[in-house]
Amino acid sequence: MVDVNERGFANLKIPIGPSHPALEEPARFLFEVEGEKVIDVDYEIGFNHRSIEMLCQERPFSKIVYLVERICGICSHAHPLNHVERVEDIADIEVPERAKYIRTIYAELERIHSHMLWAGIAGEEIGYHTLFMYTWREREKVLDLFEALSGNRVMHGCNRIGGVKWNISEEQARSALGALTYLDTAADKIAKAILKDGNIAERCKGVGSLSKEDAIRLGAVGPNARASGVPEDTRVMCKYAAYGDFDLEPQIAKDGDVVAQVLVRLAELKQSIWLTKELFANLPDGPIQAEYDGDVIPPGRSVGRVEAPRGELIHYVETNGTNFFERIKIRSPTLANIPSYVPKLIGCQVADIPIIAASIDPCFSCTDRMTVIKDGKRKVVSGRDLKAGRI
Amino acid sequence: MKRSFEDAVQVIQANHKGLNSYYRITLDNLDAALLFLKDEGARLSTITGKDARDHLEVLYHFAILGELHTVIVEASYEKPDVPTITNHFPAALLYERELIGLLGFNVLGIPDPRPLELPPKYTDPTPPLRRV
Repeated sequence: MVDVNERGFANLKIPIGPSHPALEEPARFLFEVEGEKVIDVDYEIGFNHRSIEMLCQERPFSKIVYLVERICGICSHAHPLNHVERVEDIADIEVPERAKYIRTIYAELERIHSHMLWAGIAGEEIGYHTLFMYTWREREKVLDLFEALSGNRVMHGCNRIGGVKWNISEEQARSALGALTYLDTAADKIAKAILKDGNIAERCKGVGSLSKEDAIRLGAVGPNARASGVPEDTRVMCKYAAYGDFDLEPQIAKDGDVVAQVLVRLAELKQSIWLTKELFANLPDGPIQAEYDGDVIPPGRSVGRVEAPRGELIHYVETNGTNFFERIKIRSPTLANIPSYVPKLIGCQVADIPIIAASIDPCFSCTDRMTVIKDGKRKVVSGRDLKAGRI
Repeated sequence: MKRSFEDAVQVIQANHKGLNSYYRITLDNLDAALLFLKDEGARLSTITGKDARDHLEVLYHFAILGELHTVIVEASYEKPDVPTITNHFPAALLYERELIGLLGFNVLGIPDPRPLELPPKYTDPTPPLRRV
């Protein structure tokens, strides 16, 4: 006998995730539906929690830049950039201008490839596989550029306390400008392929809307908030690294739906390509590393933000005068954006869940328990194991 | 903040070119301070919990455009109670659930007290980020 509610619909709950074809991320959603319509949603995260904050407090600070770079494979520059800026703030280290520019170049290249990756995944979620293949092909250019600059496509190892590790030669800058000109044309083609397609407009218009009031109330950040008309961009507001030298405007839209998310990210893609060209063209001369005695950081605290591709990324660093951190707290943009799923998903059709879930560009490697499979036996790592570093 | 609350607020640090300020405040004044920040247009950026070795601390980080204001309150190991701030800032829910799971805070009045990251069958009596 089917349990029926007062409106005559069967009481059905659909679990999606963790790890589901519609959402290849370790988050679990429980949808309550009436027919094809979602009427309530609950979410659960933490399936891949790796205890990075605790690991950061149990290792000498010299090893932490390496560790925070491995929080996320997409934001592999945003995390260490924020971390070194916090340490430099506490230790009062003045970073050379050239190093600031190089940090900004990596940050913008990261945004370009992340937004291209998102456009491909969004295309794949609505069945537009050609767009997926096309954007990911063009994204390879950015990864090639990373390889030419740092020797690595994903983990760049660029940031050091007081500066950067990799300098940029004139030949590398010339070659990068050529690649960016190619990417500029590719971005126009991607925009045309998306915006001129009537099927995408029909499929995404009005889907997964988030009002400006809800975006502010629920603390949404990044392109997710800007698509709802919240004009907040940490690059513009905080002017960290070399962003203070350039006149940037936050890219906003007003409808808060999937189309608005597309418009914001496409505009940011063009903006980032322009900015990276400017950075290469105006790269100042000088050293790339400040003089700094790397033994001890004085006691202090610093909290700060950078604009990762998915939005505002916060690091809080507290030191105690030893070579271990007293506390490190990291808040990734996806965690801030998760509460905005509720108004976006309630009232939507079940078939729209994948594109809405993908629309905020969720990344759970930043956000999130770790399970170890050994000899075929599954074991959830306990707090005692983590404290003992047995992972 | 200091002008509005006078002796109830202790400014303990300001750095990062004057954009970041830190205030220590008693739990009694927390509600009034949050209302003040809300009126100033502050957005809750995140909440940090901390084991300060002889007591516990909660750091509420608020963003007002390019500025970050951090309000710090203390709680004891014996009575790790802090009030929920979701009545003023609904975005606080996930961060308060993190406080419960990772540091063993008792968040009074929180609408959803499930720990955020830890597995449901987590049995270790000491929360992972406690130092003792």
